[in-house]
Amino acid sequence: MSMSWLRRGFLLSMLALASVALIACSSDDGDTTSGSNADSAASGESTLEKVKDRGILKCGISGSLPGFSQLEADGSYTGFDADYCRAVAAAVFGDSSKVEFVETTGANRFETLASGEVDVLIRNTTWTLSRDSDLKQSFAAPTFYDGQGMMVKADSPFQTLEDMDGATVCVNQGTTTELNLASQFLERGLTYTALTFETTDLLQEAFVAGRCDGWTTDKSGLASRRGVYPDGPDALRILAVTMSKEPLGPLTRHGDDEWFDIVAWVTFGTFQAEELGVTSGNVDAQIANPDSVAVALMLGVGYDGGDVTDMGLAVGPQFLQAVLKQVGNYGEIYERNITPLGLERAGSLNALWTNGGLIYSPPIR
Amino acid sequence: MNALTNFWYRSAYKRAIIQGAAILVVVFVGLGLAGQISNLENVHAPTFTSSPPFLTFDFLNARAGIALSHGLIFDIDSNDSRMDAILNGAWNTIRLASVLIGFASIMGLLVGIGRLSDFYLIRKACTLYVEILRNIPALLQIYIWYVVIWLTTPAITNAIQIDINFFGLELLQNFIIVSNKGFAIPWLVGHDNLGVWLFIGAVALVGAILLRRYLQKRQDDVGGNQRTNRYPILILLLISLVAYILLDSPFTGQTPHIIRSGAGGAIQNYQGGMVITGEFLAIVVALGFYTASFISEIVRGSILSLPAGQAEAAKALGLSAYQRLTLIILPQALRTMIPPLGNQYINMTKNTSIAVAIGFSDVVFATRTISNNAGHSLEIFTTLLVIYLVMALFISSVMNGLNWYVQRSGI
Repeated sequence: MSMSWLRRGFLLSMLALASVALIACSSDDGDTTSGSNADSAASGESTLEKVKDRGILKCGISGSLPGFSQLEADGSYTGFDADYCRAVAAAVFGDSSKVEFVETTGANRFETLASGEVDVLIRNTTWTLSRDSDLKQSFAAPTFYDGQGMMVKADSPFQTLEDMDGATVCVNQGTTTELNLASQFLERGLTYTALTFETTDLLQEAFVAGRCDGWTTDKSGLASRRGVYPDGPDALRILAVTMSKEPLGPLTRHGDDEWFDIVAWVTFGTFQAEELGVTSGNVDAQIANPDSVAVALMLGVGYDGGDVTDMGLAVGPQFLQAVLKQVGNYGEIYERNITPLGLERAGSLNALWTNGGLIYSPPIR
Repeated sequence: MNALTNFWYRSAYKRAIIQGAAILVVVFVGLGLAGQISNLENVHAPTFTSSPPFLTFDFLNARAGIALSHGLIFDIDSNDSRMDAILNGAWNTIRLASVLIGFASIMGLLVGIGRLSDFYLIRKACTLYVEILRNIPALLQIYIWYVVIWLTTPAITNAIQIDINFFGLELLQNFIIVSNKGFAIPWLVGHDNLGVWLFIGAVALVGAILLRRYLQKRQDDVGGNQRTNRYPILILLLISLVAYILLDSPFTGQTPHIIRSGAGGAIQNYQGGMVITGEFLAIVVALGFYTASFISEIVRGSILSLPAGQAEAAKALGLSAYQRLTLIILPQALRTMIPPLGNQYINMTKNTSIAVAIGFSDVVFATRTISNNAGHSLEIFTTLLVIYLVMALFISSVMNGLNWYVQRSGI
């Protein structure tokens, strides 16, 4: 008797399982359809609507790159990339605090963006053809022009890569760094051994121990690590050679041009504001009484009692007001985050075009 | 009893229904997963753009653009394809796993036997070993071995060079060189005639085995001492001597040395011999010690599962402790040891995937780097999955074969 109860119980639980699976499946199917709806919304219709409905911008960052995006002790994020996330939020909501930062790794960042887990990815990502076309991402304007460098111990005799034939080079895993290193040494007919580490701290241990002759990553990254080197920054030297072009900037999914335009023009807006001398300090005065027609057009106000020109961006003509008030222009963002790393802006590619750099915005009109 | 319960009580129907239900569950869960994957496909392929077909592996034929270090035998450079890079990484993983399996087995056997030793100190030391090592995460142990122990050996500029001198005769200079770039040890370099030598060796070996069989049979049939070992060995030596006179040696011993390159010779590297890198060694030692602590428990458990009468009878027959172990205890314990041992080997092989943390270029490293540059993570992970699956199934089949052999022959 007890046996039959056992069997019946087993049978019943099997049936229950099967029905649960059926329900799960049908809801899965539901998900699939709603998923593809959401997807077409993400790609074809409107990321902007999705962000507005959610009430918060999801922004993909690194979270462990001092100067670019770093988690602070109080749980907030600081850094150049984090500030650009805030700028986009300010343009959409008028409130730069409406950002949910999503930490991504070098390996999962593109999937995070493609799957709609984040709305925009601002994570030191180099603009390349294959990432643009094969991975179906759209790159807005580069916000930081980086290049791969080589750091060596200050007392070593190396001045150029040619001095480093046969070297063991410590590399941070998961970037274009390894490829650039390989092609630079290949082109020069030099041999090398790459020692690739997942974490920068372990890499530094190996470098300190003399396991590697050189340390390569983007120059901004080298500078930030040089600043916190245990033997002091003077123990290290960054070679003059720049091994690659690394234009870093925000990116969005292919296909939603409206959303791409917003991200792109928020970025350009910070460039334009610096060029026109509009800062977080004087933006209120400029809104009340713009210096020039260009400033009035940029801030979406009338010049000398004239009408406001709406250039048709989906976030309205005044989107840059909140951006500049709450985050600031390009120069301010750079000054706040990158200058402390010891990366001089003057004379670099990151200077304004009027100062010989590459930071240039198409006209806002 | 009504008709319905009667129906249930017919076991043939019941089995059919239960199994049918189980199949349904599997099918629906499978369909659900397939739906998720096609969903992912949509993500990759927004509706209005033309997109590459889903799960295509063509991109693996493109130029890898990276070189893998820690290579042995096969080396790839940045002009090889991505698939070559992945296979080279897989080769590094296989190399690591094979060395690890050997090392951990020996270590585990010793510690397992040690835990049953009659000596208090050995017994307690082995217990301490097991309890400490199996309770610390493997990754942490790798870090400790690498950073605390390996990286503190001198840099290559102050490398330790061990020479072998014999009564003032400088026999071998730079026999072994140690620095944090790794151990450089002497190695044999094959000559052009190596192939011929291998052929002759194989023929000689087969001949010797056949001769031994014949002598054995004759000894059984006719009796007397037919020198079943002496003659085959003599034949082998004779053939080798003739071949050596005719062909010269198949190998040259090569000792390592340090070469300088770069500006002012500031860069030093090993040349010649074989180099075992510090990263490789740190992983072997760390993962080997870690897994050995589990293996030792398997060894101990298998030995304890034997009836005490086996050891007592062997003792009564006057066998020494070593003879008791090798002739009586271990052969029997092997039967219960092999299946769980296979699990440990598979576990360890999969655990090598954390080696990437200290810069070892294994298959995970290769796939991760490629997916970073080329995207296609779904395809990459599928490749990785297949590679690990093949390795695990291979180990599993070897262990099953071994198990079958041991159960059958009862060595």
